Amino acid sequence: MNTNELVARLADNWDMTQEETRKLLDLIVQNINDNLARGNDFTIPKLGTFGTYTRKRRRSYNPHLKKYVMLPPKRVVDFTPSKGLQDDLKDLGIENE
Amino acid sequence: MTSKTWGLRMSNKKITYEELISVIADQSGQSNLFVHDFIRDFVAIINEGLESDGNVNIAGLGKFELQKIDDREGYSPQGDEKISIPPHNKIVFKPHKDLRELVNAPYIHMEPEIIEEEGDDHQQTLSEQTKDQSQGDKQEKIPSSSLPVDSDAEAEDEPEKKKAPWEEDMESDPGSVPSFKSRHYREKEPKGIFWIIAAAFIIVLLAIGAWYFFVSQQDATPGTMATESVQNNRVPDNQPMQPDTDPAQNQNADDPSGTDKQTSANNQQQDKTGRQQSQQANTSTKTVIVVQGQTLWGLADTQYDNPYLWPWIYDTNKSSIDNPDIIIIGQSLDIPLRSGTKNRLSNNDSLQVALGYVETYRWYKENNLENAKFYLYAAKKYHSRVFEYTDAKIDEADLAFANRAQ
Repeated sequence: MNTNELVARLADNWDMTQEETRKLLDLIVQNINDNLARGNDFTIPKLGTFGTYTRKRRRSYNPHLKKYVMLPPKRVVDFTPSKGLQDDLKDLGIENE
Repeated sequence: MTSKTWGLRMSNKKITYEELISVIADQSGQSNLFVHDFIRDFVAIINEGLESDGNVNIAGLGKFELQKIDDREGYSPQGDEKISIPPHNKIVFKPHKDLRELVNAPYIHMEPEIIEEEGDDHQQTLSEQTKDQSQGDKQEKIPSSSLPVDSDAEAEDEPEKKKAPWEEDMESDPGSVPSFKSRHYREKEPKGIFWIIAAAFIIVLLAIGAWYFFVSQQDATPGTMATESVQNNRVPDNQPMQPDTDPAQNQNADDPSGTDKQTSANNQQQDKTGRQQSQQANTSTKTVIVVQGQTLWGLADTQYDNPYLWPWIYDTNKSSIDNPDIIIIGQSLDIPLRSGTKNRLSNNDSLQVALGYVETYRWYKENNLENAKFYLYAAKKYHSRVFEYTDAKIDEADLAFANRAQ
């Protein structure tokens, strides 16, 4: 499913125009991005918790250059799905033996 | 939170769902309830999307995906029994490029740097404490200025602490062992902000030393007129934030210099801030002529035995002082005297001090100086309702910061 489909469904459910729902969705996305950029943690019920953490620097190997490299620290996004979501989709499409 | 990140995330600020909703509600003009329901629907649709397609892509954010995990062996939570973990799906979120870069903003200018490999004779080196001199030279600590000042990113200590991984690597890699060359990170914009702060701190210390020196020479040299006595009111950077002497415990001190004219019931307040004039009525003041080496901080210290009350003097003399950090030798200042008992700052006095801090905040803000908000914080600390007594323009973010006081 992509953004367009998402917007279409939302617009339908809420009886809003595509433009309106797109704007509102945009705001939601912006706020998520904003909080993540500031390093804040937050939870959306039934979806999961978003947050950031910083990876420490570490040694790694570059096979193309055949050299060891030192990777700098990096701050990344972390997402933990909420229990409900996990349980629901856990067994999807898993065929029984 | 995943277990691996639990410790790292404890220091993050937590935003509640309510906060998130109200921000979006404000920005969109919708009600909180509407946004709440909308997001709930949004989540439900994501759920449906994952169920039907196995992935949901949201532009400008990222992609939610279902990943298949094969069955594997593991141990029961108690750690005793071997159990078989069946195949299942895992939900992952993969942020898009823009979001990744946004979040990595603090480290975005750092690139991986190649570690040059040394010859075999350097094998024993790195983490071991006993090395010969030559090893010590080759192995320089990474200068802290090359990395951002970030408590999360362990800087210099890592090479020494990471013994095991190094040794593991050494075993598996029959080739030569790399050693560190000087800087491991190339940065596009060198950040010397740490050194700037350190240098500023040292200058501050020197300034304090010089001030004490001058004060001790006061009797000998009356000083020349019209020379500016610049005082650094921002002693430690966090000075206004921690008026650690409770406004309640102060003692009156004698005034060594200046003339002793008492004027009662003064209406000195030029009503610049439009606050009620009755506030400052019935306060007596004493007039002092500034001599070399004096500062508002010092004067407050002398007069009130509490230098943190200096904004009160500043405020009282708003007509003759512009920059709270600068007073001029020879200028005449009216020092408001405390009412109330000897050891306590009366409620009205506290308010005056707090208003003084608000004025200081205003001046700092108008002149685009940093740390303005700390003065606002101090104002609130001296009188929790001070903001009701002034109509000075206060920035919202600063106000939020200040309201954390008390």
